[in-house]
Amino acid sequence: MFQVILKQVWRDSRWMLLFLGACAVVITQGVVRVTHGLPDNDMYGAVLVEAQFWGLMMPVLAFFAALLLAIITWWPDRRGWWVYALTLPIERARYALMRAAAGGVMLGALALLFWVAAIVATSQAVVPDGLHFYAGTIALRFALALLVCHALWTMLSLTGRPAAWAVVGIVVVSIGCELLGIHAVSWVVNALTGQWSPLHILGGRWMLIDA
Amino acid sequence: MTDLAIETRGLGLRLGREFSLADVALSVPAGAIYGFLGPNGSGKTSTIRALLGLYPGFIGTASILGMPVPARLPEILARIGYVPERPHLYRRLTVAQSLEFHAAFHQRWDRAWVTELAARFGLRSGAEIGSLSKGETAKLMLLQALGQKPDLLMLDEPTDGLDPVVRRDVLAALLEYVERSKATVFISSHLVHELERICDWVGVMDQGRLVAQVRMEAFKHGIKRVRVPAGAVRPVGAAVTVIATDSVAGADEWVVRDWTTNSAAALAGAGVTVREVIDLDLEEAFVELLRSFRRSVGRAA
Repeated sequence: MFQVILKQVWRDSRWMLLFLGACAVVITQGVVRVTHGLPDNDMYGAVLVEAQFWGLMMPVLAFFAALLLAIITWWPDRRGWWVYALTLPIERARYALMRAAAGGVMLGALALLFWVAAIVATSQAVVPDGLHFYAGTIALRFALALLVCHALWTMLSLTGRPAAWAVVGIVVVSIGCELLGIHAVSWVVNALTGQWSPLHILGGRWMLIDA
Repeated sequence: MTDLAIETRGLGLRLGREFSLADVALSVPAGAIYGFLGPNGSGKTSTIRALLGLYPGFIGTASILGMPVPARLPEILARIGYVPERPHLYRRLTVAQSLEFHAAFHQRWDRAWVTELAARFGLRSGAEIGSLSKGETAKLMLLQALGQKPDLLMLDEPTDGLDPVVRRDVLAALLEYVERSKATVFISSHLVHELERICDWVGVMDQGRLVAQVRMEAFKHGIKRVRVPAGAVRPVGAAVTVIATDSVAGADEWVVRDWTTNSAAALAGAGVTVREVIDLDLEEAFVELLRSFRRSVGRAA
């Protein structure tokens, strides 16, 4: 059963995965780009600035990759109003778990690709003394971020309309507040990535190269 | 196996502000082909969906193949072939992929027969479901339902909107399977004549209620139009129930239900001379039954 679900999710998501994988390659290559061609005495600061800039895109990639995969994973059932899924002779929780797991496998592949891309990027680069590569650590963090976001988006997908309205409501209110000069977006982002939020993993600095 | 394939008692369900099912008491004998008749919006689909556990929180009790709903739903669904009113399959899968997907969930999947039936239906295995015609989609849904070798087929308007050729193919495959397997069929439709040919039991729904549930023979032959002298007094407690009256050219016409060979004599005993007994076809009987029900609901309101 899991195999056919996995196959279906693979068929639906392969091109998206390819695109997301390409994004991972671009981001990791972006981090090390500056290590080629700068004089040694300028490099230390420039590498950190570049790593910080490209590092910002890593949690964004994780967040949207998980979102897109959750949409792709659940879309066939949502489109059919769950009728087919709910009339399959299987416990509903088990079915949901298998479908979520199939999406998770695809994201696992993306995390693996990110790790390989980070290793390839860092293997080509030479950095000044005092700076180190963190390919394994950043890839692990990327994988965990994917996992957390995937779980979150899966929960929202399964909750259905109320959750979607709640998300839309937060977005609309935040934008409305911004237009009124109240800086709600940054407050919402801070709240969502705060210390006690599961999305905390998305916050902070994502440094492939650091001291 | 229990004698009843489907049994509900006091089945009720509220759907939105406008519509509800109330006190539906179905008794579908095992091995029967049970036609579930009713006009559009009468509650046929809602009843089927409630039985399949698609609507949580219905009241009353329901059991399918002797197992309670929803407590043993996965076991029940393993033995039910369901064809919904609207296509429910994954549109981006091809026919072959959809069959493979479905087979993975059904242990009794009959691969050989599915292959044979797919060829007979002219289904292209590489065609994407989203690109299939309405007729092809209907055939595929039935193919999937039959391929799992169910003990009970629940078909919700399976031939609605199909051309006569496809309709004939679908019904032929269905009857062939029933003959082979002795499965129970619960088929809903508003196409009265279609059910007349294949069903041996019939249940009639209207306004969320089960109006009647009888053997098809009793339904076909039990509802008559009886011509009596003008001004004849309706018998009280006689062997027949008058469900509608009309006046035609110096005579009265009563539409009666529960008509038997003894009914004319019973009416004569009650002082009513029966001038003529006119057979109604199933559609007329169905319409008269619904009219009578709606009048009684109107009076009660």
